[in-house]
Parts: sequence; structure tokens; C-alpha cells
Amino acid sequence: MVTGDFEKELISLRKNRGLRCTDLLSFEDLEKKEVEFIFELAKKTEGFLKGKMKKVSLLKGKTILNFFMESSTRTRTSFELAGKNLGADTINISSSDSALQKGETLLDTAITLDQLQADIIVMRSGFSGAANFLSKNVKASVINAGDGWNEHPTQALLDLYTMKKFVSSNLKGKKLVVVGDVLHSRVFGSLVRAAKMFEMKVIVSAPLTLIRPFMDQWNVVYVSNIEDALKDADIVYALRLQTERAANAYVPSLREYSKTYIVNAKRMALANKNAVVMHPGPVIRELDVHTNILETDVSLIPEQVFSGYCVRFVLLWLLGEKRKVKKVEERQIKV
Amino acid sequence: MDKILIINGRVIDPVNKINKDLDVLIENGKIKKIGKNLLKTDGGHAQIIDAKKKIVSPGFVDVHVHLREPGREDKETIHTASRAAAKGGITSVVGMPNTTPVADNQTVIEYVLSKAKKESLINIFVCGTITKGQKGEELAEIWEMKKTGAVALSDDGSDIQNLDVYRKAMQYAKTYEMPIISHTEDENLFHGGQIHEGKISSKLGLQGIPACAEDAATARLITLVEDVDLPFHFSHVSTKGSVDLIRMARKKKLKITADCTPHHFSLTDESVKVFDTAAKVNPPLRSEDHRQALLQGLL
Repeated sequence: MVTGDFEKELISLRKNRGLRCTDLLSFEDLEKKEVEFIFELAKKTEGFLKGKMKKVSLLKGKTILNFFMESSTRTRTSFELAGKNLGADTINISSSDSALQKGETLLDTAITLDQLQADIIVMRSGFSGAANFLSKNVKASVINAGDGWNEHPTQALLDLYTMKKFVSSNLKGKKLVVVGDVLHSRVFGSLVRAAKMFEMKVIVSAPLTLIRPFMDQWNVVYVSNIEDALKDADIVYALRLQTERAANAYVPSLREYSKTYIVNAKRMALANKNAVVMHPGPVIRELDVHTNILETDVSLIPEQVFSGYCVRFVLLWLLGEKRKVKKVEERQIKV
Repeated sequence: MDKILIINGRVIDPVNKINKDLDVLIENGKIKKIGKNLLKTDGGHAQIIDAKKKIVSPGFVDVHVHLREPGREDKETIHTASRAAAKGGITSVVGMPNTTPVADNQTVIEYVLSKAKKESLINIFVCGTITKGQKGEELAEIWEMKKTGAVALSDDGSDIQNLDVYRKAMQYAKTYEMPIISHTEDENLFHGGQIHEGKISSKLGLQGIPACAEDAATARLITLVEDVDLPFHFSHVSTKGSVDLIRMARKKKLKITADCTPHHFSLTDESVKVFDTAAKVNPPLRSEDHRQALLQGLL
């Protein structure tokens, strides 16, 4: 297939549909039918992104800035690749090589990036609410690629996509067991909203020191013992213990944590027969998930990465034209 | 003779139990008469102020303000703070000592008071810190600060965590009849929190400040006040637990007083949604059950 044909196929599948939101800051910015729509297009991109010639001109002439104030492998690379595949110019900025290092405020950085006529800014920050703040101050569409402990909406999109592809196209009533550092996890923040949208049953299991308060607002059930939690699980979602956020101080030792909460083959035997293991990455082997699971087809972790590539490709395309319609409150005072 | 007549206003004076539409006559800076229709009888040669649809009341006293001078003049100065206060009907304020440098010695107290004399429109009183450098370790020169004009002591913003130091500070302050104002908080439980620990903090992924960070500190300070027996003030109380503990302590006739800010009894952590930093204060805006308890505590 020639790429020109793929472009036409994708456009005809889209049928002039779009997203209501101009930015993706929280998973709640999307409606269920919009999520399904993204997945419909993402499915179409799979063959193309695995093909020989991965280039279209759907976003030709557009500028995408990947503004990452925290480290990233999967998220940044997939956004950058997807942007390039779409024909956009992509630039990476990190906090260490930006003027933030010299004492510039995030507001002034935002004004600067906006003047460079960026169409999309993909932002990751250690501070909850940072993407929200940026979006209010730039005409560009802002995609939250993770803010502090808050949300990481494209991760939830790729997780749902992976579950629908490998577990069941109908996720209603499926039992999702989340194990590990729920407290510090922005992945959890978006995943729990996504699970609510698709009416999944969510169980969390970790020491109480790593659990957020008021989990009942998302109908999440807490089960302290991982063996009890895993019973009848359809999806086991392990989260990394975020030692960079001092999460190791919430457990006596990594040794005890791994003994009590690692997802391994013995424990997976308690789950449903076809249960799968997912993890947002990076995985810390023998602490979050045991190698005896990682290196089997029970693990969907590599598939999650490819899903992320497809889903982000679609999302960039859908948000690529939003700059001209996005409304931003005028900041400048007329003198 | 200097005569001012305020007419048509709603006079509210809780101490004298007045809440009526009345006129107020002021002569040479003193209230001479409060009554109905004073315009006819006392209007001659007076400056007339029409207070229609306005409240006329004694000047308010704010026992907890931050003048920010010296050191953080970018935020506030004695000049701006005194004008803001006057605009809001506040005629006396007590400035907190967490300036740069901190008001832990007579020189800083002297500086603030002399600047206030020159630039303020209202009465400015100042607090000295309880400990040197507001570090919670060694006592500041409390006697000398009192002699210079400090009216109370506080390590506002970072209260003393070591109870042995706090107890000695209470004993020393009592010796010189200096009341202590406490910003009541356990630093370890506070632990870098951003907003009230609850439904909203969980939803926004912000590190929470649990109510027990204030409750625990209130409880242990009350036991020290009971032991030392001195006038002690809990400032900007924000939790239901503190209200309950303070109520119990007052029943025991301990010399404990407390205040609550208008924002803590009118707003909740719902105001933080979504990431509105204007609603980020310390102590944090709490949830509705705490707000209700604060209102009950005031009434």
C-alpha cells in the first residue's frame, strides 16, 4: 500500500469527526464515544506503523513540542515518532536545557513557546496541575503526558486499547486488580477514571501507606492481601514503587515489599485462567513483576508500548488543528 | 472644634449590643452621641458622611497579619498593609514576626514600630518570635522585645516542635506576661502537603495535609498550657478536632483563646478545583464537616 492511500483511508474513516476538547489534560476530558472513536482510528494505524514506509503528511507544516520536565522513554519517544510519522516538525525540550533552569517562570516559558506558534505541546512535569496551568496560557493544544501524582491520560487510553484488544472488546464487569504504589501514581489517576467509564470492577492492593484517601469516590475496593485481591482477576495491573518520590519510605524495605506485593507466577495462578499482567513501565524486575511472568505471554507490557504508539498517533492528528479554534483568556492588560 | 456626623448607617456594636439604623456624632476624635436623626440637632458645622446601606461599627482588630517588612517588600509593606486594612474597616493589627530578618530581637521590633509611626494609617502592634531565628531551639530575648514594644510572641509559620523547648518558652513568657500565639501544626505530619488531605487531594493527586497534623499539635499544646497556666492563643484554627479540643480546654477554664479566618469558615477545599492556586493557603481550606464545626465554634 502506498502511503497516499493510507492517508485517504484514514480520512474517509474519520468522516469529519473530531474531539470536543482542545486539550487533553484529564481522562475526563473525553467522552466514551470519543474514546471508542480514537480506538477505531488507532486500529487502522496498526498495519501502517508496522509497515515499511511510515510517513504521511496529515500534520505537514505543524509544530509539536515535547516539553518534558521529567525523564521518559516510552511516552516521549512514541509521541516524537508519531509526530514525525504524521509529517509534523517535532522538537524536544527538557527542563535541564530550558531557561527554567535559569529561573524563568513556567508562565514566561509558556508565553515563549506560544510565540513560536506551536500547534501541540506535549508536557510532562513533576507537579500536579502543571499541564493545566500551561494549557490556560498557550494557544497550542496541550497534551498532559503526566503531571505529578495527578494524571497521565494517554497512558489510560493505551491501557484500555490494549485491554480491549487482548482481553475483551466489552470490558464491562471485568475485574481489574491494581497492585502497588497507588498513592504516587498518575497512571492510576487516569486508569481509575477510564475503568469507571467502561464500568470495570476495580480492586487495589498495597500497604495502606501507599493508598490514597477517599477511594470510594471511584467505587474502588481495597483488599490488603494480594492473594485475596487476585482471586478471579481478569487484568492485574502492577505499578512501580516510585522511589524517586521517596515511596521506599512508605515500606520497611524493598525486600519486604517484593515479598508481599510482587506479581509472580504463583500468585497469577490464583487469578482467572486467561488473566493478563499489565504495567505502565518502567518495570523494576523482581520488585514489581517477577521475570517468571514478564517473559511469558501472560504479560501484555510490550503490547502496551505499541498501543501507545498507535493511540498517540491518532490523538496528535485529532488535536493538530485545534490551535485556530482554542480560546485563551487574554493576559495582557491594555495600558 | 472638629465635628463629624455619620448619618443613615446601620450601627453594629456587639459589645454594647447595638444593631440599629442610627447616626453617630464624633467630636475631636471621640464619639459624642449615637441616636436617631442627629442631622437636625447636631448637623451644624459638622462634616457629614452619608453611610446609607453601609455598616457603621467600631474598628476591627486583626490579630494576625503579615506586614512582610522588613525583607519581603515585593509582597507587602507597612504602607500598603495599613491602607488595605483601613479600607476594610480594620483599625488595629498585630504583625507576625516571620520577616527577613525575623523579629527575634529588639532591633527588628524597633524598626517595624518606627516605620509604622511614619507610614501607617492605623494602629500597628508587633509580635516577636518565641525562639531565636524562629528555629524552635533557643529562646529569643523576650524581656527585651517586650520592653521595646512587642505585644505577644509567636513562631508563626513554623511552630516549635520540641515540647521541652515549648514548655520552657511558656514558662519564660509567663514570667514577663507575654501571651503566645500558635500556628498549630505538627511538621512531620504536614510533610510538604499542598491542600487538605481528602477527596479533592486524592482526585487531583496533590499531597494532602491531614487534619490530624493540626489536631495532634493542638492536643499536646493544651496539655502544656494546663501545666504552665498562661494566656495562649490558637491562630487560624482549621479543623473540627481543634475546635473540640479547644472547647474542652475552655470548659476547664484554661486561658485559651482562638481565632478562625473568614476563608476557613466560608470556603472548603472544593475551591481548589481545578488547580486554583488562589485557594491554596496554610492551614489549608478543609472539607465541609470541618467548616461546619468552625462555624459552630464561633457561634
